[in-house]
Amino acid sequence: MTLALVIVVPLAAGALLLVAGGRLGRAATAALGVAGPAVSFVATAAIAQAFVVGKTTLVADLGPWLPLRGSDLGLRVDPVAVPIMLATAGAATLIALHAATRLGRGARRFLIALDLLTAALLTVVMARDLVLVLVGWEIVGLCAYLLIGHARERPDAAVAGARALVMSRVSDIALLGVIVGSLALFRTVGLEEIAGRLAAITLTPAASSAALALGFLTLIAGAARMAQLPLHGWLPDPRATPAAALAAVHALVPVSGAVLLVRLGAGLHPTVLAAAVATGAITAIIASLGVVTNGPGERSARWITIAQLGAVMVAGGLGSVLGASFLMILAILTRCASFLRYEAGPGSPRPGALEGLGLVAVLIGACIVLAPLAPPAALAALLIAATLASAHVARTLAVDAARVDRRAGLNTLATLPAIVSAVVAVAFFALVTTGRASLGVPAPVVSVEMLAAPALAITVGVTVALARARIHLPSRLATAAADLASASWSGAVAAISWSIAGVLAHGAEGGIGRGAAMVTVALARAGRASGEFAAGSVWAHEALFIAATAAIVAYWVVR
Amino acid sequence: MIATAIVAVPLAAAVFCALSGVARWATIAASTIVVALAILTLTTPATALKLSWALPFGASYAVTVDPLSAIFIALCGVVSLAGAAASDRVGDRRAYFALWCVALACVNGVFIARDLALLFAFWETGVVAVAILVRGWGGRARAAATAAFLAHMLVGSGLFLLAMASIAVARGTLDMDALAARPIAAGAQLLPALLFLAAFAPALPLLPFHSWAPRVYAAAPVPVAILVAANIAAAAVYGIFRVCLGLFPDGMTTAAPVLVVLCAVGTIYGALVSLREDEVRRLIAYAALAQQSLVGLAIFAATATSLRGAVLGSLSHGLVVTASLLLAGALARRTASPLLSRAGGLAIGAPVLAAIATITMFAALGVPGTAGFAARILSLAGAYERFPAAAATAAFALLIPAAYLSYAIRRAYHGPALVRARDLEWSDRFIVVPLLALTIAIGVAPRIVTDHLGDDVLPAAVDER
Repeated sequence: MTLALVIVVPLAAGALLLVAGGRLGRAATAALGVAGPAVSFVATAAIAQAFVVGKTTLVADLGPWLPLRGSDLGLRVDPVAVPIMLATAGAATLIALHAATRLGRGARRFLIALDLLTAALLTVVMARDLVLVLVGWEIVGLCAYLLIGHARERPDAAVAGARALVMSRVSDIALLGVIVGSLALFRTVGLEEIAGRLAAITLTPAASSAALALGFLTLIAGAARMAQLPLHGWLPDPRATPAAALAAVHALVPVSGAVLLVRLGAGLHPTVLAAAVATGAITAIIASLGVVTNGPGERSARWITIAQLGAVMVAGGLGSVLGASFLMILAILTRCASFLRYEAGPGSPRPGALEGLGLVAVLIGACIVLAPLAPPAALAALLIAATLASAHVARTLAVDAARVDRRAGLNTLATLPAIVSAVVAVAFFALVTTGRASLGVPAPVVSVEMLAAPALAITVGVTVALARARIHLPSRLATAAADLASASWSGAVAAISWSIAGVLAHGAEGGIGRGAAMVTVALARAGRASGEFAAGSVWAHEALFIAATAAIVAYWVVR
Repeated sequence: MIATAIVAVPLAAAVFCALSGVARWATIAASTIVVALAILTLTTPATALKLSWALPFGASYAVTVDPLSAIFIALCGVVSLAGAAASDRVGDRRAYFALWCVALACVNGVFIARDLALLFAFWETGVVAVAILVRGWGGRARAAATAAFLAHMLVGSGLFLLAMASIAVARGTLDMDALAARPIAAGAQLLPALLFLAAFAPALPLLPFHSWAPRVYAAAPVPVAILVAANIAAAAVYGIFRVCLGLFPDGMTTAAPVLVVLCAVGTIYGALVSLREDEVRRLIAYAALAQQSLVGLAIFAATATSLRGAVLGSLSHGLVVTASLLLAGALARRTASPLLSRAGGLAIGAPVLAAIATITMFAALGVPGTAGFAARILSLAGAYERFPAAAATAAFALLIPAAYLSYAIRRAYHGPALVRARDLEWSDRFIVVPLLALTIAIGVAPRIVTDHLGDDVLPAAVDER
């Protein structure tokens, strides 16, 4: 019951807001919009309390849905999912508060999309079968379109929204491929069965290629949703989107990708997992480069998110469920804190050191948690990324100190997630160092070397940043990653399909149309000619009748 | 009894419309009665009726309503209701609504007929009634549109007649249940299957025979375009179910690879051409080609899952294309042009229109929560079992509608206000919103449709033979 409440309440709030229209006042709209995620958060807290008391899993079954095996409206919560759900619902509540109080006339539209996003995201986290995951997944992509394109009078916002929709569709189709492949291979779409049987058939060489294909489709879906290179182009330009939308898109939307990788990760092919680690590591490095070269400004906001998600991808690829969820929660909270500091309208973000600190925390956390599992190359990549991020933080602090702006400080909405994220990081560090077998955390694995390497990375980064006034990197490098995104978009997707479409629309359709017109005209002329023939000649009818009779008689005789 | 009433009520309404002055309300009443009767038969099964009238040919008046027919009749009734309610700006109302009721009666007749000759008679009359509607009340280029429409349909119907005559000579009966009980030898089924398919293929629309669709969608008045896009297409899908798959399953299995390739190409082709279309109704026509090609893929793959996906797909298509055409009409009235590029920034002055258009776009995309999602998953999952390459191609082709639909919405509604227009009238809202609500209802609870599609209702799937 509580499980269903978590999803149904934001959905109902969004639907009510949609149907009631502008008739509700500002206060009522704000109350309804915030109540959705808030009630979800309370319900999730109740679920968490049930787990603390002693339950191991919570299951809800709402009945059959589609006539496919395994496709029911079933929800399932295990201890891993609860912290992610708490973080998601809490962040959504804060974003809704920010939007309700700061967005003016467009608040209703925004809150509808945000409520829908919350419901869909919690569906992805709690779903028991892949079809329900796809349901939540697609709606999350849709809400990203609605949120990014919120300021719809601006043409650049509308274009960014459309681009996000098409990129999200790529991940939708990949996930649809996973579902169809699972049905063909395993005849079921239930998540636990798929993960288990996928792990089993990975070992047999016969079905290994099928498992490889399924694994790569899963990786593509997760990577597109988590904005890994080269599928990162859909993250919007901060100047065109309102701050609350940025918070929702950067913090909440990638959670769906992380959850998918965590759920299916146990069964994926080893090659796919290695590819995931490689993708995450490369993304972390290049994105950190992007952060440093774009400097303290809103241009680096996207790269910070991408780098954080790279670390989460590395954790997911290594199979560390604990690490991936902890890093994802940290990412959610820090991105939320950083964007909610801004005023509501587009174009107002002013950067600070908070974002960089969040990035450094995630990267260092990844190094520490993943040290026993990760190959040295991935660890080295994370350390280099941490160095670059520390350099960025140091430079930003120096710049900020030089340009003192006392008017805008941290507001409550941003302070809360910042404090919570710090608490979470400290608590997790304590957990990992002491080890609690009852929570599934293994014995302490942190050694002196593993603490020394990140500390060294931070020191190097800060020193270099403070020592040199400017970090000269070739501008080509800074723009390379951005160019990759726009090149893959415009070259592969837009240009090719547009030109083919042009050829088809004007060439083929024109040809078909002309051919069809010729046939129609010929038929009409034949009809007219035969009509004239029949009308002109007196004996035409009789001649035809005699000819037909002769033909039938001849047919019978010959037969 | 109920079956005959489903056809008789619109026919009586046609006569009434021809004579009286409240033609539009009579049509709306008739459509509502048809929908109510259809839903009634879903709960209480109807009895079959069979009256022989032309024994030498084996033709008889055999009608019955089973759950599959009832679902389609309900869809056509709802679409006809919406179209009639939207036809408040036509001239010559009595003739228009009389023809409208005749068309509705004939489409319902296709759904209830259990005899090939009866089905053929209803199909032909429906096609001719719609052609008269297009020719008489259409806009520019209506003559060419009607000519193209009739050329495609009548050639197909001629082949249907040929096959029907040969069946009558070979078997002595045209009753579908009797023919299904003793099927023709498996090797000889291919030719009859293709000949019968020829009547329904242009209406689906199946790829090479689709070129009438953009012309008719653009030239016909919006309600008549709705009739063509939803009702005739639904009748074609039903015809393929009953006649081709029901009577000649092995022939369809033999022809399936070619047909499935045509449908897979159709999804990509229709979507790509829509990318470049500027005229809104032609864009909807090519988008309909893409959507119906997916339905066709599901039908020709003929597995148990994909057949259910095909039924859901035609339901979704019928409702969504009706809403899209109504909104296209609303857009054209505000911009005084059928072109997309003449509109811009309508969301600022007409937010309700923009909201409804966005929801229609989501329904067309097949977002979860709309009927298109369930249809898409069932169709692709079912088709993948037999034709993985075609199913994969159709799945990839689902990427393109996101591009052209979001472009259309962006061009017309987003951006700075180039056109100042009034918001959607309440009369139009009352028509479009229930259609979208129905789509969402079927999407959230597809069981209200799939529960009635038991294995005895649908034609036998491939893996069961």
